[in-house]
Amino acid sequence: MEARHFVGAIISLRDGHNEPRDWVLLKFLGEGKSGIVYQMAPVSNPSTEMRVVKFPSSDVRFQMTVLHNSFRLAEEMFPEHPQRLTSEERLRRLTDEMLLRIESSGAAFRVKAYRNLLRAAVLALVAHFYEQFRLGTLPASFLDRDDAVTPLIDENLVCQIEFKLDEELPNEIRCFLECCVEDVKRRIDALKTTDSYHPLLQNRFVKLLGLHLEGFLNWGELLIITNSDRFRKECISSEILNFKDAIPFLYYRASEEKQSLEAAREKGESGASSEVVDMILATKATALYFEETAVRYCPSLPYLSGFAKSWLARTLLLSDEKNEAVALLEEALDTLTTDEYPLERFDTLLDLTRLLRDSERDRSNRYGREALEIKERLGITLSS
Amino acid sequence: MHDDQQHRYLQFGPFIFDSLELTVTKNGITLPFERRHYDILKCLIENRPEKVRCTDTCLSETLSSQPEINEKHRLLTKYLSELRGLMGKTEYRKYIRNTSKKRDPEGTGAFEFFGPVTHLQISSTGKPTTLTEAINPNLSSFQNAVIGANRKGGAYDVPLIEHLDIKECLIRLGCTKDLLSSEEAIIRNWLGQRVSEPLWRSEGPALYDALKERGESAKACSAVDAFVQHLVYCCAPRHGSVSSFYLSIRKVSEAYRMLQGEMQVGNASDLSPEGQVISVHNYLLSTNRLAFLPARLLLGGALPNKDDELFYFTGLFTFTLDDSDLAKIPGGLKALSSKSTDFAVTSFFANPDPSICPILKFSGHLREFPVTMSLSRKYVRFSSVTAAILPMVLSKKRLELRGIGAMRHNDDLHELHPLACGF
Repeated sequence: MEARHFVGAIISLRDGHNEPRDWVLLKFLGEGKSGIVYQMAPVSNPSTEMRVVKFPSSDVRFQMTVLHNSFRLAEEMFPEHPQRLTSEERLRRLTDEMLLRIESSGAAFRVKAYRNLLRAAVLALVAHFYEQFRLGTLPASFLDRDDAVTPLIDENLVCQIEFKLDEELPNEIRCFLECCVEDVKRRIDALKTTDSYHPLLQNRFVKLLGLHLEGFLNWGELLIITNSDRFRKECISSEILNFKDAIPFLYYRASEEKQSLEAAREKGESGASSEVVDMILATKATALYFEETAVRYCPSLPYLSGFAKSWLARTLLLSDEKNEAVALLEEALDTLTTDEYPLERFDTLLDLTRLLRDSERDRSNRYGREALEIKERLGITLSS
Repeated sequence: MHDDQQHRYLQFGPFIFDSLELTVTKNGITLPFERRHYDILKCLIENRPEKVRCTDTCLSETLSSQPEINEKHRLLTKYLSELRGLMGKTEYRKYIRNTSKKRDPEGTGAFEFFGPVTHLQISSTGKPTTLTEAINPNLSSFQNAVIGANRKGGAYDVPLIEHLDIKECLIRLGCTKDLLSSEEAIIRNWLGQRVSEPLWRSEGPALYDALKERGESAKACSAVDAFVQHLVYCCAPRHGSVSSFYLSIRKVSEAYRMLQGEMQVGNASDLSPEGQVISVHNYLLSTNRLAFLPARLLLGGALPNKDDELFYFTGLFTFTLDDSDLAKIPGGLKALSSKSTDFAVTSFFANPDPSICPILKFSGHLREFPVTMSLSRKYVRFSSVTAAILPMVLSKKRLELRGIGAMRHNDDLHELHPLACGF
């Protein structure tokens, strides 16, 4: 929406140390390098206390064409305001806007948690393949050999590598990444020609969730759009199953972030704990959203709900919420049946065995025994 | 730190610390340090690798306004935050780190300088030799040449205009023939003054007035004024006038790496992209390999026909916007149809989605030659000036752009590919 159309919006702002107050934006003053500036006044008495307020350009609320859920309109002062809509009309327009936003192939790039995944993918490429490149033994199909990278092969990964190439890099690393860019592009073309191009960050559920993670939508709006006819009509059934992979992807990234932070702290270095918190929150939201969508889109596959619960439980452990995690893992066992999903059940049992080992030995042993039975049945070689 | 000549200059990364002039330069450009910033940096460097605290005597004067330790520490933190802004966040982190109150055994919180610092050798001119040889050789030698020549009152020597027929240019710009010799002298003098200015001044000696007084027409005065202004921009790239709007980090670092051996300079990582473009620009200037296109075209020359020929250009350009690009931005088409450009910065040029209008296409003219120009949106530079101009770009107003770049030819189309350009 054009910046001047936010005039008339009521926004709750804290004024110094006081409680938040409602302010109405009265005049658009301009847009600069880093912010959008308005004149505002308290809703309670607009004529007495004029202020100037600057919002950062990155504030998504001012990038929307529909009034953000945290705004409302000063209807008495602006009775003819173009954003004066019924809630149904607002939701219809909100759906239009969000569906347009997720059309873009780069939509995921604006989501911090997803950019984090892309950064990690580039690091993984260097860590896993640079040495082979240097020795001249890099196999042609190297992009298919790394589970941390393969699902992320898309235009966003190309952009991320190109951004990396803008940094100063040792010459050999530069050559390797230049080679990677070309290979990624070729791989995308090949996947498109065989109609098997389904990268994680082009998944419509992933992209729509990203808009929630970035603050465009609240949870309720996210679910309404997900369940709208228009969204459902455009989704292909395989997308929900592909979306499933986003949870472990984000989980492992959050886990790595947490480990890095802890290692840095042990060395007495500082680290950004907000990054870890953000990744954990993103993973939790993804697991919850997946469960919601799986129930609606795939009612015949109840194990998906168990899958979401078990990953949500693991994510809760990253923020030390052990009791809640145990409860969720036990709930997950209801749908992860031994006959149909033995591997998922085995993992969940293993988590429960470890979590209860010190506090409730009997329960822990019971889960452990069942895990062993599955292990023997399937011939799993992993150590439990 | 010693104040004698031999220990006058200290270098760390792109910074040179001058203990006599009490200045700090970054990539050859003097940073606007206040005394307190200088003193704090000096204290940190002198005490390295030891930590510095607000209670240390070297900071007593700087922090004297606050009697309490907590207040002193808060003030020191504030000053260091200013210092970070002046040095640049990334560079600052390479050299200065803090220890929080919790981790500091003395409980006050501390700061330390780390990273290598070297003493620079002084040449006979009293200038640090590495300033000219390692950091930005051509900028300084070029500057020295200009300043030195002016000081001696001798002939002004700028490589770019050595081979430039200024008199012929003046004729083509509409000047009166019998005044050419004196006008050339005025122009050379003006150019010398402006190019040697250490800080950019918005107004300089009034060239327009000087020509007008000699009886030239207003049209000729304006034309010469604009022409010479471009010579200044071309000869003094350190002022950033040719890279204020756009700087292709990719192309600039490629050019820098390509010329690195020839220029005998350090790694690109030691310089910011601005530093790299200045180095390349100055090196090409000093070796007569940067063409000044306004003069070439004015004198009837053609557009460069080699892909690798770099030149300074200026021209009028209009942004060419494809509706399909705008349609990807929610509200974009509607806003433009209502002639609103309120969303130019936030939703368009600074849009974090890289697939939205990744290439900005312009069409324009370099003198009478029609050209197209493609800029990667990700390299657009945001400042208060560009933020004010970007809405004009979006509204397709014709804008004068100047910069350095190369030309590519596709059939009859001339494509301009700038390394950097500005308004």
